[in-house]
Amino acid sequence: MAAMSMTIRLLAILGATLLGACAPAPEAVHCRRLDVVSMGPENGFRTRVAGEVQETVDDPAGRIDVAVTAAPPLSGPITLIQTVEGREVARWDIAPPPSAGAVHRCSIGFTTSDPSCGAGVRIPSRSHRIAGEWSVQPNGNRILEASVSFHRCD
Amino acid sequence: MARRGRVHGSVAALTITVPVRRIRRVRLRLCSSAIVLVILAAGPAAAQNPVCAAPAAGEVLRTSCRAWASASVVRLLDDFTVDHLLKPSLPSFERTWPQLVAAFASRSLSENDAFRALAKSLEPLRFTQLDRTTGTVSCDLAASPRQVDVESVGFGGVPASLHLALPEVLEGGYWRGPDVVQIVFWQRHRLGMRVNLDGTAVAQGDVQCLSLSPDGLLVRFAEEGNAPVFIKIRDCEP
Repeated sequence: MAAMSMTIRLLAILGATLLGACAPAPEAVHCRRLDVVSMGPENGFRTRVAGEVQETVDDPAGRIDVAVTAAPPLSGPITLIQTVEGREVARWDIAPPPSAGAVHRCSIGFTTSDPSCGAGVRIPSRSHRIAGEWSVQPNGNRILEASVSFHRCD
Repeated sequence: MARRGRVHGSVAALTITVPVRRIRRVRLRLCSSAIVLVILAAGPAAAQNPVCAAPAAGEVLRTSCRAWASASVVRLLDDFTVDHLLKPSLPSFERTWPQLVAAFASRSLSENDAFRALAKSLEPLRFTQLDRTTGTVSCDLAASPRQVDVESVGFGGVPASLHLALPEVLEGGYWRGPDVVQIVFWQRHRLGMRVNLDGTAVAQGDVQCLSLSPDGLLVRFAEEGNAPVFIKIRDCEP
């Protein structure tokens, strides 16, 4: 009985913490995150966003988040490449800030005011289509996997 | 070490297929400590797809903000990556409920002796790796009550009530990347919940899918029409 009471109290705490100190309010989505298949050894560090996907990342609030699991420290920039039908449309030499753990993160936006991927790294066009093949080149870094996620704001 | 075989886990939103995989050991240095790592090596297996539906344009979510939880959520994701991807020879690992909740809980709650004592009453969740990006999750709740009603949980001083329906075994599959963990729960193995705030339901349904990233936690319910809950961590003001 005591164990059941403890369980109930714990679940009450879990429920409260899940929903936060403030009640969740209904809100139409403004910005959305799109996760895609991550890049690792089994897919040659390449992933594909289907060509029929018309989604874009748009200025000013959109961004591309990059996460890389690698043995620290990184010895230099990692290259992220987007190609469409074999034609390279974007290339970024990204240098994520030092991480305390194995995962290194940075965001590619439309300005360089938040240079989390390194100075000068930004999305080249004001409305950037995300379809195509994405790949990473480790450039000597010991990368285990990498991912890109796209943040689109309406 | 090599393991061969096919593993299937299937639900409406997820089909996991691992045809063949090979595991090889490598040694890497992480954080100045030499750790023996296991990397899922290249093979015929393809990387798997996300298991939770991304929010659609204009979709209405029940949204709240916990911007201060950013660091703890990132740490939770990083630790998950290490346990899933880097720990050697251990196909499964556990997370206690307090470990999962702590990412969102206040420090005062996390350091509360009573809370920590209570935490021991629930079995931990066991995550079992299938390949680099997927695995299964289960939690034996047979010893817990099936229905739980709690009054006066309270959100910001407003009276609230919480109803929970617990399966005997909470069970599902997960998909992960370096920056995200998504868990989809199998039918009849889902946690049911309803939160009433001042008499009005603000969140209800069988939890079908959880998606955790540095952006926040998205909770989708199995019932169509039940608005998902999104706890924002990034890009919001508490």
